[in-house]
Amino acid sequence: MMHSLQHSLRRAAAAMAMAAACALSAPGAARAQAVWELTPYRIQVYLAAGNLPDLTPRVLDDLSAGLVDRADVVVGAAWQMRVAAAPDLLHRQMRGGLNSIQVESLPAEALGADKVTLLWIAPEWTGYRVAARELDVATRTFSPVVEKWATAAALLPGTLFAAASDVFAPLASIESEAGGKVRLRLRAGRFPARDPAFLSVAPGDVFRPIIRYDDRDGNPKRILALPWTYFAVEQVDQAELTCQMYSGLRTALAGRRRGRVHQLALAVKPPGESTRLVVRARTASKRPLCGYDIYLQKPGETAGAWFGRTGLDGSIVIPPGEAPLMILYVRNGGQLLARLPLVPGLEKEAEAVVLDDDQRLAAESAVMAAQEELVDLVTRRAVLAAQIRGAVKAGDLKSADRMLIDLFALRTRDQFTTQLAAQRQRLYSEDPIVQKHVDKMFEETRKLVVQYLDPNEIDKVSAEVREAKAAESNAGT
Amino acid sequence: MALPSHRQPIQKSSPPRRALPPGWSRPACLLLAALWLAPAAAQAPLYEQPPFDRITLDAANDNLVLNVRPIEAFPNRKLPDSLPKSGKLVIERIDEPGTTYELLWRAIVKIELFEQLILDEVNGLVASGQFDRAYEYFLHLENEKPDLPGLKDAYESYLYEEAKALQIAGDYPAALARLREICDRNPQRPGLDRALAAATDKLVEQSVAADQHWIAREYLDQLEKLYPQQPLIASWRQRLQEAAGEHLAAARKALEADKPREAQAALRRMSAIWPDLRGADQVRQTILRRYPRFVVGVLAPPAATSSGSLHDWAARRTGRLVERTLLELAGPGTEGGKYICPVGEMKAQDLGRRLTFQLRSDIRSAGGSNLTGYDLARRLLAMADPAAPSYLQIWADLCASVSVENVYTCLVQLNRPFVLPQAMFQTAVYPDESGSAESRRASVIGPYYLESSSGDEAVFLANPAYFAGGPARAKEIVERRFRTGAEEIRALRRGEIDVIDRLNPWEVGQAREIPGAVVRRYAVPLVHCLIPNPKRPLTSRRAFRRALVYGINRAAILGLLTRGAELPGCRVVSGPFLAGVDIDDPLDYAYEESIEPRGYEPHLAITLAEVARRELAEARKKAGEPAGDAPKTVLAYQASEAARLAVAEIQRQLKIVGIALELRELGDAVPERIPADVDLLYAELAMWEPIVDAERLLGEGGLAGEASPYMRQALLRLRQSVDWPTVGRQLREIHRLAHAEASIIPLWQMTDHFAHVDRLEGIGPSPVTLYQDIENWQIRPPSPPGKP
Repeated sequence: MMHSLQHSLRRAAAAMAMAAACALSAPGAARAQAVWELTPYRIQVYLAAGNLPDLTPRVLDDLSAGLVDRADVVVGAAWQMRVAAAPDLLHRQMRGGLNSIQVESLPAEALGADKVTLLWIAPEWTGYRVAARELDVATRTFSPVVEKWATAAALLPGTLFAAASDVFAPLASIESEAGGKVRLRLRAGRFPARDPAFLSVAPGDVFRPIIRYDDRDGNPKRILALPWTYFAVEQVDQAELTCQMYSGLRTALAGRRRGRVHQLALAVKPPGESTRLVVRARTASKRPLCGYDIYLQKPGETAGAWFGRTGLDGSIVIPPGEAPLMILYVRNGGQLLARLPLVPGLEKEAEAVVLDDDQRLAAESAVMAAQEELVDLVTRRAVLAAQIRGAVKAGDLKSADRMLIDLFALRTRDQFTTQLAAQRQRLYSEDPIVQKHVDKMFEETRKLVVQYLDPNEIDKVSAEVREAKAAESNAGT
Repeated sequence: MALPSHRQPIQKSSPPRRALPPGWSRPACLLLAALWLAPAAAQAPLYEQPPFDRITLDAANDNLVLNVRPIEAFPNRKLPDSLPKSGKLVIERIDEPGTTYELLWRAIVKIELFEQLILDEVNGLVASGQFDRAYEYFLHLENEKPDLPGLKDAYESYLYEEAKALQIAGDYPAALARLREICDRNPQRPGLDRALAAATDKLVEQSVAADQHWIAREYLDQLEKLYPQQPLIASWRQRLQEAAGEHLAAARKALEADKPREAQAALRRMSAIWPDLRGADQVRQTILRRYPRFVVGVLAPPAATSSGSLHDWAARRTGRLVERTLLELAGPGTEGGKYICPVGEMKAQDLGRRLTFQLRSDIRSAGGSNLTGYDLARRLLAMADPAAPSYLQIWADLCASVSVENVYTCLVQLNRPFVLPQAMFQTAVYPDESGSAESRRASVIGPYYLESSSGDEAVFLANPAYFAGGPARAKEIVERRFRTGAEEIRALRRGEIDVIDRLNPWEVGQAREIPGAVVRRYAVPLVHCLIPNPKRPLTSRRAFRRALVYGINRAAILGLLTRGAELPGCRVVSGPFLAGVDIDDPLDYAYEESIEPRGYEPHLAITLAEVARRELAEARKKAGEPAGDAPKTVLAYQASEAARLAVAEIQRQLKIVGIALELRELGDAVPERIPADVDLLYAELAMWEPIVDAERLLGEGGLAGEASPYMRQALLRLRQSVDWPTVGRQLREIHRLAHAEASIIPLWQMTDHFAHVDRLEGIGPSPVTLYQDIENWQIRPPSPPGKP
């Protein structure tokens, strides 16, 4: 069972011819671009239904035909859709739920297409439930499952098309990246949709970079979805998309262009669900980091809002927001540890591996307390020294003597530094960066102690008292 | 004792003695003498002037009067009965020091010693009504010359004259005091009994008018001890008994009309006037049998009821009357507190990871609903819901699931074992928790419910559906509010109340002296502190908070509150936790003893406050805000005498170090958190189980409403602790941190006392809260006559 419309084929052939002509007349890279932008998506649809007496094979044929018709009417040349009944094996697996389908479950020939769309019709009390899921073949990436409901069989064609459209994720190639701005070339981007209301890509949409490494035969050797990296579309100019890159990586796209490497970007369809974020230490223990602050920021905003804190298991649930993309800031005690873009719901669970900052925070607390103690001690010393000098000046040497004892009883520089060293020893981190930070804080405090608790100051005051006493006893004799 | 003049050294190199020149008899000399004496008399009292004796010469010497240095011729300065008729007396005139003269004894008519001169002067003062000045003279004479002839009589006369004057002026207590002093010295003094009776009469009249009959009785008893036959005593006693008899009759009448509450009120009025009236005991017994009722004097009325409140004394107290919590602190135990489950039984299984609550099946609310495992499950789940008022972070972390096994059994699965799960369940349980006041009242499972609350009195009636306590328990508990502790003590003395819920620390000794009353100590002390608002400009700064600690002389204020009395468990503390009452106190497991409380260092306080102000100015400048004046610091406190005294002293002390405080008295309702426009909140914290209370105080949902990242981290570690050594270590770390960053301004730990009539039994020797054993409260019947 295969359906295609004559006129859409004609249109596609014309487009291909035009693309080929453009490609021949342009230099190498530009030619490749032009081909990419003028290459329609080959979409292989597998349609299957549960045990429904009213959905006979004939009805399903009609639905398939209707789907292709509708794609042609609404999308036009950008989609080359072929609809087939799901083979038996695939049908059985689809019955178990589309989420369980793997690439290996699909017929081998399906992987010759650009997209494989699975459509499943199931009976419901109130009509029909249509579930859809798409595989982007180039990136081997499945979309989340989309479900739609039709209250009558007559509404099924429209519902099937709506489901197929919803799971359709446009693919783009990454053209260039500079200063956080990324230019993408949209596959089939030169084919405007027939229905202007059908916008495959619009500002605000989000793409996810995927790097595909091919072998000599052009088969995928490795496909890597860049973690914590998204592109937010800012501007759409036919096939050219200008995006802002948000990434938790320092150099997300650097050094990935050599050889048979394809830098692709696949549109992300936010499923409107939550993601459980787990924050873990980047040390070998990978222990969950609890009590870390999470701030959320929408793209384009300058300040994030505090959202919550990780629990004892290091996790926090991020619900879907108004915008598909959110920027998460992981902080601990004011220290920024990670900046992570996230599309909630895209993954059920995401793991963020960050610096184990607990020891740094504990060290900061200890150092701050020590510095405040130092301030108190220095003030005490200064006050006592001034009082002693005042007493000497007033000839009250008895009081001066008494206060001198108090002055000598204050903590000395050696005592202070010994205590500081003991505290420093207790605060050890497996992470060398954290340890370095901790050591630096203690070292700076030690220097302050050495600078401000000069024992000579006390000796000087003591000498002044001694001199005054000697002068008094001389005057007496 | 020697007079001061005797201590004057005699100059060895004195000029040769010579006779008084005849010229001395001239009036000019008299004038000179008068001029010399006059200013001295005006300047200082005679006894403070340089001592001198006065010699009067005979007519042949123009009756000349000479003031001379004290004469040493008389042993012990005692004048002989008659002066010698021959020989000479060597004198040194007071106005001619160093020159001596010889006087013929026969020319001397009279010698007046300095002591006598003083006595004469004081008699003159008494006669002219200058009693205060006279008293100073007598004081001097009593100290210096107690055996001076005539002194005793003179002093008695002085007291009598002053008493007379005071009586005329209407100052009867003072008049009575003077007359009693005379009585102590000379009870046989004529007319003294009549004078005493007159003063007593006035005082009894005043006491009766002021409804202070016990004072009136006391005056009469005292008069009786001195003059038993004085007719005033019998007369007044008869009048008092008659007045009391009217109330007794009213009580009987009310009993006959089956109005035991009115009968009890009348009996209380009778007891206040004449407690031992014949026939009263019988009526008392009948009332007690038919309507046992207790009146509790309180300083803070309850604005809310919550047995587990951290900082609201009244809510904690009254909470136990109207609600029962799942677990209740019964007192200190070996590891943390000792808890009981009044509504059933709690068992920990699976190495502490599973808790089973087996509820009693006979727990019914006033509305008739049974308390079931479903109610408990709802409550436990609410405690893990951040939106619920009963939310407890530590419980939310621990609770994995709650399920109901059968109607009365509730199972709780924990994420990990917890050292003391009981501490988390001091939460009230109800059969249903619908919102309306009516339904809340119907859902009460506590021993009492609030019947009415008006003015200064709240009446709690026994809940007939209550599951514990026998039929003999009190039918009614009345909480009567007093403005001052002194009023409460008077009321207890008069028999108007049975219990004082909380004594002011300085009145503990006074309460111990009330006959027929007992003073007891509560089992666990409170930590008094100032809670800084972390969102206010100055109190958000650590330097300013340290300035507050250094600027308050906490030991001095504590001494002021206790009036220097050594009360066990009262001490200055260095952190937010209990330091324990004695060395074995198990509740001190969170207190880090190695941290000494910061001392009173005003210089340091001044410096740190200035540092904080500069920091603030700098921050404002950076933010582009106008510099403005340093903001005033508002200290809010709950209205109570002790708090008022403490904060006034704190205000005074901080003013010295340049920190101006504005005091704001809160109403009866204690805020859940520090109000937004308040910088400091004076709080009395029941930090009885630090493992849970640390979070309630210092955590983000705590009283201060915010915590530093360091404190949050420390509290998180506490929540993760699974054994007692780790818990102890973590809590001491929190103490250290709270001390370092002055998260709160610790003041002192204070043990509280309550007092009750000694006939009240079952109250417990040292309860945690007043009504801890309310079910056992009983009034002991009076002993039969002749037996103790």
